[in-house]
Amino acid sequence: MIRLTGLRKNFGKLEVLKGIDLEVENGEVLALLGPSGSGKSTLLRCINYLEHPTGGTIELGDLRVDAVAASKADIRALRASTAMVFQQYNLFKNRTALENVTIGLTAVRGIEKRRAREIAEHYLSKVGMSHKLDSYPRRLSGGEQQRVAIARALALGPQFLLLDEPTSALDRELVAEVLETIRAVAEEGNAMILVTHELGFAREVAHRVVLMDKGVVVEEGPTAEIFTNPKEERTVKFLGSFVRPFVYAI
Amino acid sequence: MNQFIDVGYMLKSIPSIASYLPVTFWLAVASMAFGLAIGLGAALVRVYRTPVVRQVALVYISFIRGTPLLVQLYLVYYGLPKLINLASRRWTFMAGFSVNMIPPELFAVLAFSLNMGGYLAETLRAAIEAVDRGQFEAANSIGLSRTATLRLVVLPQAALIALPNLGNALIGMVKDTSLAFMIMVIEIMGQAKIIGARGLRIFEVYIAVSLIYWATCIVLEQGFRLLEKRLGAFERRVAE
Ligand SMILES: Nc1ncnc2c1ncn2[C@@H]1O[C@H](COP(=O)(O)OP(=O)(O)OP(=O)(O)O)[C@@H](O)[C@H]1O
Ligand SMILES: [Mg+2]
Repeated sequence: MIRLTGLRKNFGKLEVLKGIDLEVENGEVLALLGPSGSGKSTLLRCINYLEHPTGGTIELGDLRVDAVAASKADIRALRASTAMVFQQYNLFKNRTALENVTIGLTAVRGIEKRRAREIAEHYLSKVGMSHKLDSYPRRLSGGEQQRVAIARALALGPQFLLLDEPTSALDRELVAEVLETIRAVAEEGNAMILVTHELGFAREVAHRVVLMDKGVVVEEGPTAEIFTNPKEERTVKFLGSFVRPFVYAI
Repeated sequence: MNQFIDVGYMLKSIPSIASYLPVTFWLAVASMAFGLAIGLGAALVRVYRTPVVRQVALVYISFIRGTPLLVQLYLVYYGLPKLINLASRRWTFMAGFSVNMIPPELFAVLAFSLNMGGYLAETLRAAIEAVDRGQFEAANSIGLSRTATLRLVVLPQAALIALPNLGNALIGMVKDTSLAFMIMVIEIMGQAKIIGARGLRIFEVYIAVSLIYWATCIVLEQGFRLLEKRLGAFERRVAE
């Protein structure tokens, strides 16, 4: 379970998160929607402390961390139980696709090399990257990098997954495949927060939806309800601003 | 004797001078190696803003950059024995130790390393800070420790960024080892002076020694070019 209470983040005078309350059950995928600049990435980055929150508490399962008073051990624990797919992928530039995935397994989890390679190959094949194991990120397209990034996060088998627009650079067919993979991981009982601009994707994979705007939660509810019967004006406007380019066939 | 330059004498002096090339080489390489270690330490202290130590590093870097190498060499050469004498009077385990047991090469390497460290600290700090923030974040997000992050991700990338500067530093160091003769280390410059004084052909031996330095530096330049190509494989978009 992920539970955020009153999470705030300021960048200097700029209030980016103005007290976010949010909960994700185990086995649940929460889609985080909202206009550009509404604070979605910042919210994810606060959960594993890549950004230091200005206030509030973060709970991940049994771990409860007061955001302001977090100790080094707290931060380490938050990071150990989460994995993240970055909006900019952030693959290790000096490591091949395969090494990008094995590095966390060997250096953090202490898994033996050969076993780590098997795990990495498994996840890389799930995202359709088996043919480029030895390529450096520089030689991969945006979509390919994104898929390696997803494999890197999934391979760690984290309890909590933070996905920041994990399909933004993928073709439609690939989105379907990746979606399948993500869904399978969710069914193993992980809690997942998925930031996306693609409403079709959110609709397919998310159990619940949260709509954010200007650092506050505008509306939240079960996916079907939000999409068919939004209550808030801003949600209606936000959903309406998307002309769905295609429907996902799953 | 009345020719402008005795080419034969010059050529003949080259092998005898070049026989001291290993001394020059090891002075430079050892100073570079220790300098890298010191410089990396100082750079990390600055990057991670370690309190107190950081102030020390700043003063050290500023001092090294603000004083001539020759002065630093003399400070070590005359200062260290004083410190050792002081220590041997205070601590009995140092008693049997005499300054004369220390070869002058050691003073030279010490001074050059400290000098190198001061300059490389800045080079390495800049290189580490030039590594994309996203690389640190990704490493943090998968739980890599600070050391693992540096060793596996950041330093290999920083090394590539710093490589041209490191190459220049080593070449500079090779040339600067010529100062070591000032504290009685006989390397190629020292040998040139000795031969020159003996044969009264000062100009010829200086030409000879300049040719040796020049050739050495060209070799090093090419070496670094190759190294850059090898280390930078991950940066190239197209495989070769
Ligand atoms: N490091 C930072 N320093 C200052 N301001 C920042 C920083 N990071 C983000 N911001 C600001 O915080 C706000 C929210 O940014 P964030 O990246 O969380 O938005 P987002 O909802 O993810 O947008 P997008 O959909 O475009 O990715 C923006 O106004 C942004 O300029
Ligand atoms: Mg974002």
